[in-house]
Amino acid sequence: MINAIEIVGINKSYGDTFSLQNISLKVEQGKIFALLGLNGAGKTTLVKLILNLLNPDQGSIKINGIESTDNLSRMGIGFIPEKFSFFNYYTAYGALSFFGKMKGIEPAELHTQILKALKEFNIDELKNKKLKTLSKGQMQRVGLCHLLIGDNQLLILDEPFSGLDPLGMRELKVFLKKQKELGKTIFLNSHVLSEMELICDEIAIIHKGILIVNTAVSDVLINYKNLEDFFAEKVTNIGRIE
Amino acid sequence: MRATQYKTMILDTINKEIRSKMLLFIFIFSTLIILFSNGLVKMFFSSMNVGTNSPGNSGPLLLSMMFGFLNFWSVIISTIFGVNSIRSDFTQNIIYQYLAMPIKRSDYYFSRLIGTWIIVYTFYLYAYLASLILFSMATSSWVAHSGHLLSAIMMGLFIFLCILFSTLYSFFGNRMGALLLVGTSWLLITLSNSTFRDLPVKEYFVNFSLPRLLGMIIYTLLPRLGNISELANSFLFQKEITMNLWIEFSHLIITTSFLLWAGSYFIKKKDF
Repeated sequence: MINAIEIVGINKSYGDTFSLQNISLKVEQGKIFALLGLNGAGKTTLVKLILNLLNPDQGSIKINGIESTDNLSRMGIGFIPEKFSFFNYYTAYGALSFFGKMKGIEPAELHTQILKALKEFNIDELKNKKLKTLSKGQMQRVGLCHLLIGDNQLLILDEPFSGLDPLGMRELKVFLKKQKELGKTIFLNSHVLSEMELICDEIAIIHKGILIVNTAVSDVLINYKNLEDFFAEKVTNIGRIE
Repeated sequence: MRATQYKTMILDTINKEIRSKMLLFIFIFSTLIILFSNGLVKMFFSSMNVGTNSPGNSGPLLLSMMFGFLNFWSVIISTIFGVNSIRSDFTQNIIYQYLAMPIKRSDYYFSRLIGTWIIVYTFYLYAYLASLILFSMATSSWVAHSGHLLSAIMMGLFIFLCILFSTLYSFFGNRMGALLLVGTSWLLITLSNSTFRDLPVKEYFVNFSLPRLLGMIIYTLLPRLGNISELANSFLFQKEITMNLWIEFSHLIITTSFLLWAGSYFIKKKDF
């Protein structure tokens, strides 16, 4: 079976400073995977490398078997950054339409997909509203709708819980679980360990650019009360060794 | 799918630029300048009593001044819009949204370039036609001829090259830095053009010095913007063309292709 993401020996440095060192990682299809780490650990750098926004110094990344340098590898990726933003003169419908066109979706099919996505997040009444008139939460919902445009088999969400109210968080968890049931792979980059524990199948911890753990959440919970204790111990231990 | 991506990105660029306050300012300012110049032309012709059916001897000079201003103005506009074309995607943190889609970086770059060119060139054509019509009305004679069309085509090329230079510089530094770099390049290209244009190749190395070498490199490796502008003027005023068009166009195609390749290479290698 082809892995949704396969990272082999990735190194990335900025000048003399290593941002990521020899990272190798596999994310199986149909799983919810979380990348954890402290601020500045290299999580966003890794996400950017997966999306080919950064060029690695060494190593390779494959998305569903296709090299990440090939633009077709992003055909099946839905990505939402921590703060979704787009040119604010677009309407919600217009922005989603733009993303759909860039994926080569036929107009009639695209129209259906957009209406379905807006309904999924209960923002169908915002369809014709300009993005500049939307609240932060509504804007984030438009971003989430974007994940449903096209046949995205891999969803990458950077800090998806940040800035969401409790209801928004609940809605997002339901959405992610539903996407998993549909066989999609979800790659999360998050700080909210309590939420990750509830929805993830696998986690990886990056600390100072080095991958220190890659394991199943179920295995972690055999020996630890929760993911937070596990995370704290691993990161602290590395700190002591150093 | 690639054609759809290009179309979508070009329309997105036009949508972005057309809302620019700068464009509105430029549009109003240019219209005012054209109307003002038209008023001056009218005043000139009536006070000099040159006649109503012919632009007279001063007509070509006034027309030349008007189009000279228009060409200079189009360089400024091309530079501002060229620098802003891709930079605004960085500054608004939207570049990730674009490049996370299944589009080649070079396609993203070229479509932004084409979209910006369409906006600037449309503006140029508007100003050109407005000037032409108003000038014809002021002098009570239709001054347009086939050379105007060729001149406008040459200016289209000229504007494209200005935008291309500006987008290239916008990769390396902030907006002001890029504008300064474009300005410096202009100066160097103009100097090298005027130094080497009428010089036989064997005389390139006479009085050889480092600045002369730099000028020679610029003249050989970069598009000769001065020559394109001169060609546009020659068509406009139906002057005799002294340069070898085959050589000039071959040089233009090769050097422009090189710059397009360089832009595509830089954007491919850039970290976002």
